[in-house]
Amino acid sequence: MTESPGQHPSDLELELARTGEADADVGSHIGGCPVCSASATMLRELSEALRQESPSVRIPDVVEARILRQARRAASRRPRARRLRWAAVAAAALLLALTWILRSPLRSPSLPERAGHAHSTDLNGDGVTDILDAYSLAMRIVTGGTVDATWDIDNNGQIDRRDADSLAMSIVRSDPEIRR
Amino acid sequence: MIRQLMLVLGLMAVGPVLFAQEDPEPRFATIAVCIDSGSESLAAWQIELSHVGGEAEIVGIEGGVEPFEGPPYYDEAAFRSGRVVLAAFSTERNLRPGVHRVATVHAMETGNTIEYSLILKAAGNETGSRVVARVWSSRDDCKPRGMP
Repeated sequence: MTESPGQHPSDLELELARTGEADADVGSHIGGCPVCSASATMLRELSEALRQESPSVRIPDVVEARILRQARRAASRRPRARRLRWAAVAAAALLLALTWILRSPLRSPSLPERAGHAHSTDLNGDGVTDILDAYSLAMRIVTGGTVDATWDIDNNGQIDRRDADSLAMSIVRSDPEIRR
Repeated sequence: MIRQLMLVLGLMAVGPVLFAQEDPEPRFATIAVCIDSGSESLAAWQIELSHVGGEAEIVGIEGGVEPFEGPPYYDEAAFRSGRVVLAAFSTERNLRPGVHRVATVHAMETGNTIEYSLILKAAGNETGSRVVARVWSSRDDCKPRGMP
């Protein structure tokens, strides 16, 4: 987290937490902060709404490359005092671009794929991620069993029934052939 | 000659109307998704549904009978393709074995030979263990196979 202790994470960090890319302390802050937890939930719902409501759009590679180039240039030529600000602007632009990319089903990997580095979805360890894993997660939550931090599928800092629902949704969505 | 020409022109004008085949009337159908988990309880299931033969479009999916009375998980975007994955689980206790109506699919069908293919991807009992089960579709209700 870039802010000093006691401060809330920025919107950008909340968004990174949603995608599983934020530092661990951002996640723990969200877990203990009702304000940030509400913001994280809002971001997640916004992302889900965008994904469901928006038409399939694929960002052209040339546009993506141009955004990245400008972001790198902006980050390298600015004095340090302003660099952070520009880096934040560039990151926000990248975030927008990523949102655009994720709106395309063809470019958008399923949750287990996308979150492979951050989430463990094969909960029962049988080598397959399917509804039995979502059931396993739901039962651990219901019975108060031990849970693992990597099962925070919706990145809201809490492991609850919504994570089991998110996992189940990613399972029925996971076949790109079926989506076509 | 003129009369013959008028007759030909007249036939050409009304022919398409007289000989055109009417498109089959589309109709709505309700299909029950049934799973028989035998002597094991059924706590979780996942299937892939597709239609074969004729034309059909899945227009809605809802739940079946307790404990799967709630709508299953599915991806509405897959409706267009005619193949959709359905899944659900129940965290209730004392789940029963045997035949379950786990979901209800609503489809708009055209033609006479619409059949639905269901592939069981996973079924599990209360302990989360994988169980052997059979899945089929029914236009009536789910009855154990072999029963009238």
